Amino acid sequence: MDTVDLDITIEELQSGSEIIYKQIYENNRAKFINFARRYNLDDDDIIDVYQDAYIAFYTNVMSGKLQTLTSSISTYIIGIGKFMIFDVLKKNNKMQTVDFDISLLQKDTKIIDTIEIETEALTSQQRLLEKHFKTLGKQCKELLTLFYYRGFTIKEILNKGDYNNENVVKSAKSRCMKTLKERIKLN
Amino acid sequence: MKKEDLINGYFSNSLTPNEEQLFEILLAENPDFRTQFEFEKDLKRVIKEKENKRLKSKLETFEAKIKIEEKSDKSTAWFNWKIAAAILLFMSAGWFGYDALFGVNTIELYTSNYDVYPNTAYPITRSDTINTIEREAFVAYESQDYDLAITNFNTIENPKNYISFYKAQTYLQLGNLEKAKELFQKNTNEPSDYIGESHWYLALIYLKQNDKIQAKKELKTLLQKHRYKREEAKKLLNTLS
Repeated sequence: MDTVDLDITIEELQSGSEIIYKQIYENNRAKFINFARRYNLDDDDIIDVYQDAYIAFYTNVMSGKLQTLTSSISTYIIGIGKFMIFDVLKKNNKMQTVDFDISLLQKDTKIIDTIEIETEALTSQQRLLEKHFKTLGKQCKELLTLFYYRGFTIKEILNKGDYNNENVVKSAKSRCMKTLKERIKLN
Repeated sequence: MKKEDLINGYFSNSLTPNEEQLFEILLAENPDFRTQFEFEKDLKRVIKEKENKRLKSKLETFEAKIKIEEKSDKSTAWFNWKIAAAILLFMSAGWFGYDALFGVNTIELYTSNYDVYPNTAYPITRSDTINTIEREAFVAYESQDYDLAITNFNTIENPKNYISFYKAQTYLQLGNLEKAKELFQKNTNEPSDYIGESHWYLALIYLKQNDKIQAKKELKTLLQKHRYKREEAKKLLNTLS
């Protein structure tokens, strides 16, 4: 079992319990602020980065990208946060080179290698998609979120019990995407 | 295998090596396949963005609650602090001595304010093609091997303007205050990203050398012209005045 902080398992994290996530947020906050002050950022900026790092951690857990915890949760969040602070500093022109590898800075762990971090804003095409995704029905949104965000297979979606067989899941998914494409075209 | 299944398999990370190969071929050679894949990739990104926004607003509510709690904690802490200070003053005023109460221990101030400056100049990259002396110097600096760091810093040809600042940091870590001072001073007189920072470290060096007048001078310059460590500098200056 992948148990680290406070005996929290990866399965418990994936269950998405708000109490657990609130506890993680509160338990790591002071430590992160303390760490980030070394980089001479405003407290508001630090909280912003902390939240983004936290979200990146959460997303990687929920999407199944992170399947085992090899370090404590705070090591993950601080590792991701360090990466993001460097990104902020780079944008403020305090950095010289472009691509950097956090796993060397974070020598004790290779956590960043296992984490996916988005730093790019949405493209105009993606913003259009976002606008119309919101207009889809509840069932479509749920299905597409399970598939693309949670990384569920068609079979796993079937096992959740809302559909009769895999083909029904697949055709429901195709229909949702077809609706989405049509609405974008009419935009 | 249907094309749709291949794309589904890609997103749920369940393609076999053979399927992966087929997937790559279709992606390279079949424009319709590519368009569909790009659409789904964008969709994935958009859903992620939506979920992130939802979470962000949840975190804002956690944060707001913490801030309210902190505020009420602060007023209690301030209250206790006043009592504690009064008791301390009362108990120690007798024989604790002039120095402990009214004098300033500059070494202690140095220790409590000093932190080695993190490497924010040179992100260490994995690529071996840029395995330069500068890179080696910063790797050593980050792993706190200051002897190796200084050897490497000193052998860089045509050093960039931030190098002297990190060299000064390294000398400071090695306990060579004079050398560190000289470099920080040089740094304050040249175009550099670290002028404010250099004044701060100069102030700390003077503190360590028990030269309060020079330390105050550096802190005043820092406060007049730069933003670095403003709050700490103000506090330190107050303590010294």
